[in-house]
Formats: sequence, structure tokens, C-alpha cells
Amino acid sequence: MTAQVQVLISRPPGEPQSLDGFARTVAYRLAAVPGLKVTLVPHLYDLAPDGPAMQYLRGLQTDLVVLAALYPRAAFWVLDACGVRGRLGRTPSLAEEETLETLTGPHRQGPTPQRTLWCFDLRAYFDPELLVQEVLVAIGRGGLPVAAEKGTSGSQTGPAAEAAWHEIAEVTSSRWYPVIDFQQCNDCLECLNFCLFGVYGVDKADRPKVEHPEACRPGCPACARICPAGAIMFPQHGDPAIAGDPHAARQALRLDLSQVLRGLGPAELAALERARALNADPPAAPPAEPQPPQPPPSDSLSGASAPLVDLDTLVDDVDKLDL
Amino acid sequence: MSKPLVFWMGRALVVLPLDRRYAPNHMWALAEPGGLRVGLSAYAVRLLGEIHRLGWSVQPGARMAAGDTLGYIEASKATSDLYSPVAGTVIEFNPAVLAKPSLVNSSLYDAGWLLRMTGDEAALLKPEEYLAHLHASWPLVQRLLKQQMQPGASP
Repeated sequence: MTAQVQVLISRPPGEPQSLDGFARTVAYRLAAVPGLKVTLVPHLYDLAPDGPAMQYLRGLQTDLVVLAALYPRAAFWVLDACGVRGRLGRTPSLAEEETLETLTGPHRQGPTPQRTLWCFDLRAYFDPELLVQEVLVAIGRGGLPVAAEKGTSGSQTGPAAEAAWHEIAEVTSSRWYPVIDFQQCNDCLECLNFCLFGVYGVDKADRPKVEHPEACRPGCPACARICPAGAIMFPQHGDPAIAGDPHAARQALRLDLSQVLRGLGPAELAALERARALNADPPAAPPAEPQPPQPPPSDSLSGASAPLVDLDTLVDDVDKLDL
Repeated sequence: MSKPLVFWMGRALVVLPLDRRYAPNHMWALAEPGGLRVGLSAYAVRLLGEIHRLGWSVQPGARMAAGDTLGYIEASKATSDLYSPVAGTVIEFNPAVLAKPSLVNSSLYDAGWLLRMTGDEAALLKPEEYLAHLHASWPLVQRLLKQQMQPGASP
């Protein structure tokens, strides 16, 4: 008897009830393979860390195939953050260097469990047969005949369907929080310094961790852009480079430092910040006194004549972002 | 010889050697018989990341006012124009850095110098003055960059 492999199918976000024909077909086909057990969960990224689905997954010791509407790297590190750990298995959609690195690299919290997580992005496949074949090749069952007649119908119901997979019910809502790729992270803690909302903390080894995911501002990807190592992902972000696509160009994330390297002093920087926050053109010259009367500077960050930093406006702008 | 000054950018350590002056635009300048040797401070390099490309928009012999544009720099984390730290005349650009921009990362206070120019060293900041400048502007720089991160905030 071959060792059992668990197949995790994560429902696409926004589809808490139905399972589309594609995923249904894949579920039937894989459930028909001896030694594979198929489990259906809500969207992986939205699962509560201590909810029933993650608790179930933490209890598994077997190799895991993860089919989710997430980039493989994002899916892998979402699970890792919740204590479902292993090595990232080689799959066709992963960048070669990433796969090699992650397959062999050390792990931050003690030894990596000797099991493999193969992650597939459901969005990358139009043909369920191709996905099924790639899953089987990845787990080393590429030569196995698949009981095609069993799963070709997307509308199959009845006892056979009931038995084909097992579903973990969990009420989820749409979440937004950063996911750290610890294979890329170099512990510089710029995310911790940078985040306005206190999302990050440090673990016992002084490495960053997502301590307060609920504090994260929906739509704000700032820490992912500032991260020097490109280690932070927001899997639901529209920019593939931020959502975890290894093929997306990192170039798009570059900052313009001209205002900094022009040598502006604190007063000019504060004026620029305020102008940006108010969506106005930055003043060309060092500012005079601000137009409306301002209370005296209350913190040491404001220079002697600097206008107050309009942090509230900044935070409001982040709130207004359209998801 | 006293120890260099240090500044913490979060967890990143920025070292400021005491043997030279600094400009508010995060360049250092070392007075030498051939003129001021100018490079980027560790603070600037830290913000930029790995330097990929440098380009100069002026020729040796060009007369610059402080703040005039010298060229541009492209790095892993950021791009920026480069500005003259003092008034003076450009003598030469470092050919080694043009050929291998990563030299700025590997030897930023020495072989990774950018240009040589005439200019008055006294017009620049002493290391402790530059350190004070960093302390005063770092929180604002962080927030300015953070604003740039917001979709729609930058072109």
C-alpha cells in the first residue's frame, strides 16, 4: 500500500457554498486515486489560525497537495504561518531557483518536518485533466491510470460523490494580512519599523512575525513594497509581484528617492508629506508657515517650524483604498 | 583615531567615518589634493539597495551649484536623481563605478566613490551635524516613502 497523501482543495474566495465544475472534476479524479484522500476547505487565506480547518491540517502528518486560488509560494507560507509545515515540493509553476532553494533551505523554527507540500494555483489551469496529471507527476504517481469514467461529470451526486471527499465546514470572512516568505526574509525588520498599524512583532529569535494580522489595513501593501528582500506577500493583491508570483517583475516595486537624495531637511520633508497626503503638489521651496493656524508641534519629529504631520489623513487614505 | 559615528535605520546600522564631511543630500566628501572626492553615504546606499546602474548627465568641467542634477542612479529598491553636494566644478567621474556599479555597495566609503569635484569642504556638515540631520529626518523619510507606496500616490 502506498503512503497516503492528503489533497487539500481550497474553495475560491467568495464561493463559500458551491464548488465549480472544475474543482469538482479535479476532486473526483484525485479521490479515485488509491492512497489519496481529498479534503475540501474554505479559501485557505481566509481560514482562522485556530479554526477547525487549520486545526485539522495541523494534525496531518502526511504529504500534502494543496490546490488553492493562490500562488504556490503564498499558499505554502500561509500554511507555514499556521503551523502546517513541510518542504515546498517541486511543481511546474514554481520558479526553478525558488523551488530548489525552498526544497533544500533551512527553516526558521527548528528542523523542517520531513514531508512535502505541493502547492498548485487553481487559477493557472483551464483543463482539470492537466492539473490532475501534474499533481500525479509531482507526487510520483505519474504512471498511474486514472479512473476517468468516474469523475468526468461535473454534476455527479449521490453516495459515490459523498464518499469521494470530506469537507471541513468553517464560517470565514474575507481577510487581509501580510504573509512572510521566511526563505526570502533576511530579518532586517524594516516591515516592523515601517508598518503604521502595529501588524508586526518579533519572535523569540528576533525574526519578524505577523503578530496582529487583524490590525492590517485592507488594501495596504506598503510593507510588501518596502521589504528589501521581497519576502512579504499579500495574496489577494492585484499586483502579481505582491501576491506572490515568482515570475512577476520586482522592478515595479522601486521607490523614487529623489526627494530624499535632494537633501531636503525635516521641515521640507514634512511639508512634502503633508502635500502628498492632501494630494496637492509639493511646494517647490521650503515652506512658509502653513496656511491654517496649527497647534504647536507636539512631538519631537516636527522640526522647529515644520507643519504637523498629517498622519490621520494618511490613515484615512489607506482606509479608502478600493479592494 | 576615534570611532565612527553610527545611526540605526531600524535594525540596519549606518556607519559615518569621522575623516570626512557630509552633505544633507546623503553624500560624503573627502578633501584631497585633487579636489573633493564624493560618494554616497551608507544611509543613502541602505535606502537604495543593490546599485545596478549609474548615469551622469553632465561632463567633467561642468560648473555646478549645490543641488544641481548630476545624473541618476538605479538600484534594487529605488531609483533617484543624483545632485551636487556643493557648488564647484566636476573634475572626473569614477570609471570603476561606471563599469561596476555594485562597487558602491561593496566599498562605499572608498573605492565606490562617485566623482571628484572642486568645492568648499567647509560648506558641508561635520559628521555629528549629519548624524543630527539623520535623526531629524529619518521618521519623516519613512513616512514619505510609505506614502509613495500607496496606490495612486505616485506617478
